[in-house]
Amino acid sequence: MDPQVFIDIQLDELKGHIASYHERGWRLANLCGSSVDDKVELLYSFAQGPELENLRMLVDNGQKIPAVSPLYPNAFVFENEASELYGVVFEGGLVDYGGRFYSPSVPTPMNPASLPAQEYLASARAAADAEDEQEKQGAEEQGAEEQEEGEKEVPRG
Amino acid sequence: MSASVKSPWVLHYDASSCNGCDIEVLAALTPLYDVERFGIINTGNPKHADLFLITGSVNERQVPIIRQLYEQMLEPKVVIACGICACTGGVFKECYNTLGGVDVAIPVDVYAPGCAVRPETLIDAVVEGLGILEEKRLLLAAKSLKPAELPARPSAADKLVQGETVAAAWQKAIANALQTAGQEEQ
Amino acid sequence: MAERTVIPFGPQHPVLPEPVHLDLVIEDERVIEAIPQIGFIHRGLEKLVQKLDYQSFVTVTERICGICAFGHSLGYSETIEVLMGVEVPPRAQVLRVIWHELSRVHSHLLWLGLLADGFGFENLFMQCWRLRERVLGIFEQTTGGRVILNACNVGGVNRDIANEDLRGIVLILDGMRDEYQVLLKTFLKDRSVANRLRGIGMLSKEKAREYGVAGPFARASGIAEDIRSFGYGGYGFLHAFEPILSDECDGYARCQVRAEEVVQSMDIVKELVEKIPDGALSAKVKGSPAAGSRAVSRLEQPRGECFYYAKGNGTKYLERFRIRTPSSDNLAGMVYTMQGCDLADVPMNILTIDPCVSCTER
Repeated sequence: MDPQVFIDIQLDELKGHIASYHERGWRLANLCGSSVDDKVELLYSFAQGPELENLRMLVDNGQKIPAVSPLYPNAFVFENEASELYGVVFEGGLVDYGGRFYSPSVPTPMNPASLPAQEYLASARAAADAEDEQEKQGAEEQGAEEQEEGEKEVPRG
Repeated sequence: MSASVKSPWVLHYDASSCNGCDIEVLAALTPLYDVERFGIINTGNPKHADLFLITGSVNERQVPIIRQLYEQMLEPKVVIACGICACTGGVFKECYNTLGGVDVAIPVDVYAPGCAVRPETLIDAVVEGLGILEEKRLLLAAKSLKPAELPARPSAADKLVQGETVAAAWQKAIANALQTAGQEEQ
Repeated sequence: MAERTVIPFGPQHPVLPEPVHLDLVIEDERVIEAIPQIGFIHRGLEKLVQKLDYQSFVTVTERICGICAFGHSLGYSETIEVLMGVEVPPRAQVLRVIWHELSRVHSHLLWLGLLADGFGFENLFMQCWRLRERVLGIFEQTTGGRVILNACNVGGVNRDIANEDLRGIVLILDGMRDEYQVLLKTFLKDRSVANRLRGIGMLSKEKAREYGVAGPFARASGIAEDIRSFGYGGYGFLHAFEPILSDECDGYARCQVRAEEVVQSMDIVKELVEKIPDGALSAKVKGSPAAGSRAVSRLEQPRGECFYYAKGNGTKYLERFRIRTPSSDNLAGMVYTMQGCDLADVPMNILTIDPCVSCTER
């Protein structure tokens, strides 16, 4: 199987590493995120022939990461994916879909600790609270006079 | 169904299937199963299609597209959910981006289960769908009748009484009712 | 200067059975830019590893894509085997490769058929799909399924193919080979095929490297990259392996590479059937992946190199599983080849790259 090489790096070393792989003619095999507690782990994999090396980097939620897609155009898919599923913010990417690449129904579903997910949760909670409040008020105003025929159906989609 | 029915044209759409059911839909149309020999043609245009074969579970982004395709099809039309994902959501039901089966977006007439759905199941589903298509066509023809005048659908139990199927018997009853209604008007 | 128009392409389009949307910015009949929009099939499969244990997840990996179903279960199993240090018995390794290469034959025949349908050669389309049914017949005989095989699991394979049945498979393939030669001749010698495909979607070797394309797309641009040539797993039993290359860099070259790979895969199956060792079918897999353990593996799928990454957390549920499929690697290259092509060539251009949207979005 492929050699299992995992190298831990820091954010400030990332640019140098990527430039060096690019110079030596390695190709970007993969870029993906995974959530580690309240942080995101990014994995960059580079391959040349049977050789394979993986760079591992821990970043904070919402931290800005320099994009690799200007050097490796095929990374634009991975970057948009990581930013939608994990809330990773890439700077200077080739194409930024701004959250409309996969358009998941839930923001950053793979990383519930990310900022967009928390904002979404907070806004969803606020909306639910507001709805409760309205219902309460409505019930008070109408009192026991009459009940509405039923809850209005919320259109889907 | 009577001995001869119209050859339906089908519209195939992949809602969010894994391709497994899609290639089986195509396999049903190509040699070995070859339903094309009965004049069943896979068309790309919803306005030409009678049957809507839809595979895969549905996510939020697909709902408006599926509805649009469905609305573009002319009446009468039949929707066939091909494969277990299209029926219920299947293995993907638990996924965060899956709403469920096709029936969350549009009404489904025939459910064809299987992972992946087998071409034999699909052919059975299409035959089943043809019966429903015929009944829908009848109801469309009987649109001018008042509800009281519409003859009841014969039950399946007496469907072979005179060597006829439900649809054929119903068709006769509706034709008679239409004739009587026409005479009364005159 | 001509006025620019944006033409929507898809998500429902007769050429592709799968939903993918392209915004084609055109000037007269020339495409200036193609902006892909995907997400119509995104299901969020990778998160299911947190709900299903690592052994049950094999069934889900098969449903990532119905065309490369066996390949994905194989790639996943290999990754977990690396993660947990499992040694797979040699017979199981060879059986896996036999099924995987048969999948490649079926996938390429499917693609060749769709391509023929795309340029309006209906007869060729039907002939390809007729031949393909024989491979599905082999699948049905050996596993019971036509599309989803459920033959591979972590540690080995679920079922054996008896040696005489293996020889039967070779006989079926030999029968197919003669008929396939006729189709091959049509694809490679017929003027109408060449006229439609030559010069479509040019991607030079330098650009192919820059855009990091994979699989037959890369090999048709002269890049000799094929994971099979590294001799992983059952491929180590092969006497020699030479990737099929072309340096013509256009749609015709891609058609040629895939058409010839069908014969190559048949040869691989034939060679392995002669060499298959006897022995166990599956190694015992005990325990769970250790906390913090990681593994990567690569596999040559019909559409190119596929990358798998798994991360354990000490329980029977994986922490993270990632699949980077060949089509997501090829997307950038596809967008590049689209620039400057004729509007009428767009469907052919997409087809020759053979994108698998279901794999890409998961």
